[in-house]
Amino acid sequence: MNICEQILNIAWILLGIGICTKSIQMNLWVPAGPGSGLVPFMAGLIIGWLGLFQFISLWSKRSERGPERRFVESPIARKRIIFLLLGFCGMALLLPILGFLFAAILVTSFLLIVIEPKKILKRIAIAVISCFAVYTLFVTLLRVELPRGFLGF
Amino acid sequence: MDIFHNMQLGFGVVFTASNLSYCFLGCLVGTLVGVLPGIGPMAALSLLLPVTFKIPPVSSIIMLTGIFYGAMYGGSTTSILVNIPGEAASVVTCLDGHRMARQGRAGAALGIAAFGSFIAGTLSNIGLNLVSPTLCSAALKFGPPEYFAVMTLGFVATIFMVGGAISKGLLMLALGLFVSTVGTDYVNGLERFTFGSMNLMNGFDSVALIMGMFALSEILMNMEEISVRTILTKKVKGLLPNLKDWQDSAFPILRGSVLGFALGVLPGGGPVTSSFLSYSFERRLSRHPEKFGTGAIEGVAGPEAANNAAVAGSMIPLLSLGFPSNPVTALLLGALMIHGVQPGPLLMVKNPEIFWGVIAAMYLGNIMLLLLNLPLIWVWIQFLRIPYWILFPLIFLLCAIGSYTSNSRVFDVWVMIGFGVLGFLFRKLKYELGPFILAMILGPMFEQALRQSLIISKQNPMIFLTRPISASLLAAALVLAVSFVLSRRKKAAALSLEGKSG
Repeated sequence: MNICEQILNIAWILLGIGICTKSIQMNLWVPAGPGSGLVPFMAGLIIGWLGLFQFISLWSKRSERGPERRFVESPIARKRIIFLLLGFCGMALLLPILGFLFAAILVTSFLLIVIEPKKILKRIAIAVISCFAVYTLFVTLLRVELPRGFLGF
Repeated sequence: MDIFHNMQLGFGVVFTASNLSYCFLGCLVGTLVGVLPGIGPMAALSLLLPVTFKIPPVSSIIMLTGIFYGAMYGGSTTSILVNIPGEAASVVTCLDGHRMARQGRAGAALGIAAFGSFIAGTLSNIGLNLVSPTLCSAALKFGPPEYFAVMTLGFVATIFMVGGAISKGLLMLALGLFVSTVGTDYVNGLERFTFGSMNLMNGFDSVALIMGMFALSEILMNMEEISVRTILTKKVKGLLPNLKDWQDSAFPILRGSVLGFALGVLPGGGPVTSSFLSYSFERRLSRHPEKFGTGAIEGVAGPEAANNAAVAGSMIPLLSLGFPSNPVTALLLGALMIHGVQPGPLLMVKNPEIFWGVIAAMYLGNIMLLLLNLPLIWVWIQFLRIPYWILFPLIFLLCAIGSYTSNSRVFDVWVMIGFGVLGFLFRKLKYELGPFILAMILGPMFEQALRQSLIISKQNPMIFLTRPISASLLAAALVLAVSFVLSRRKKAAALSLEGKSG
């Protein structure tokens, strides 16, 4: 966890520097008053400075640290998280190609099977029912425009 | 007399078939959200925000507010029966509520939580009714420097009230401010941090961003903790508290109502802070503080009253000043803005149906919630048995639809995924998301107020200190910051002393 913290602190420092540099290019001050870069510059300054502060204070306490813990301890949880993120990415990729309904059924079934691999048919049935219920609520009742696939829904 | 006339208008708005249904739906969903551990009011509000796009603004705000206070009611059920808080404001209810359930007094605990919530909700609604119009009239005198000062006070209070490391809170606030500046600058049309992308011309879509930060990150957190729950269902009987219970709870409920209401109004306060403070307050006032933690009914009545009172309290700055005092009301502010409604002192004049309609709906919602939570307790207990893997496809689909529908762009689904991963990372590393969301939603207003103030004053920053209201608000922010830093240092010093002596 400490390594993750330090990586994030370095990211904060870099982000802060990046924001400040870009903000200066956008002008912090113009003759009429504050420029477009003023508020982002202030934010960037705080981000960079606090990132550095956290980095140094964590570094100085390195002798007091306990044993290094993993970011996600349980391997099952790690697998679930990765699959869930893959599912979301799959949904974003398939949405414009297959349309909402097909993409949703495919991805939700996949997720339910890989996350809790028991009684697969029951899980697929739940995925299909959930997708149809949500589709009916949004498209039929609330008239929300969702992406349509090659079959028209 | 004016108030009665206005409330008549408010009840006229609510007493239509559609608004009554939306109010009921909000309370129902709110209770469900409160009952189910693993999904809090923030995630639920962000998930259901897209549902409201097609319904009138007043109905959607009535529904969303119903979810907010409904969650406070429902949260106690899970805390008492399962010893897992349904949402953050019910954490302290676990301490005595679950002990009562283990002693066979689950019914009394659930009953006093529901009645206490109802009484506190109604009292604080009366407070909201009386205070809001006065604050609205006062706020009409506010100019950009005063708004800048109010927001600064809100930011400072949020960082310190949400807990955790101050540096982390400040970092989240600065990140929220930065994210709010992405897009086209409204003053000169300059593109900021868009890197030439057309998708970022109007900045990040707030719905996709909030959904990612709160809903997706919450699902990711839950993936680590899918567990089997032990529910104490057999012992639920006697939902009506007896005379002794009422005697023990009456003052804690009243004190909780006042404390919750006051903390709700204050920037940075809200249901979570008020329930914790109410618990420690009651323990300090009690003649038998040793009973707390072993099943004291005061430990349920006070905090439950406080968290409900805080909801109405936190609606005051939102409706009167257009300023959210906590992350949930920041989301409600976002919802109002999506519907083209600008909350603030002019809301009462320009959209009285929304202003008074929401207040009237809160009275009715309280009654609906009492009816939903006591006679239907068995229904909620059945919901507690639903495994998370059944709920999660629905949450997943709502996330995908919600992020897509606001602009009909797949890009926003990617935004939601990106911020979801960030939100998960922040939660794991103990960064509070509250300051981020507050800064992200208030960012454009904060920047506008700062720039307008400096233009008005011909670039003289002393404008913030020469105007009495803004000067006192900034002084309050400074005092708050200094006192919090000092109290933290004192605590840290005491802890290190204990460590050395131990």
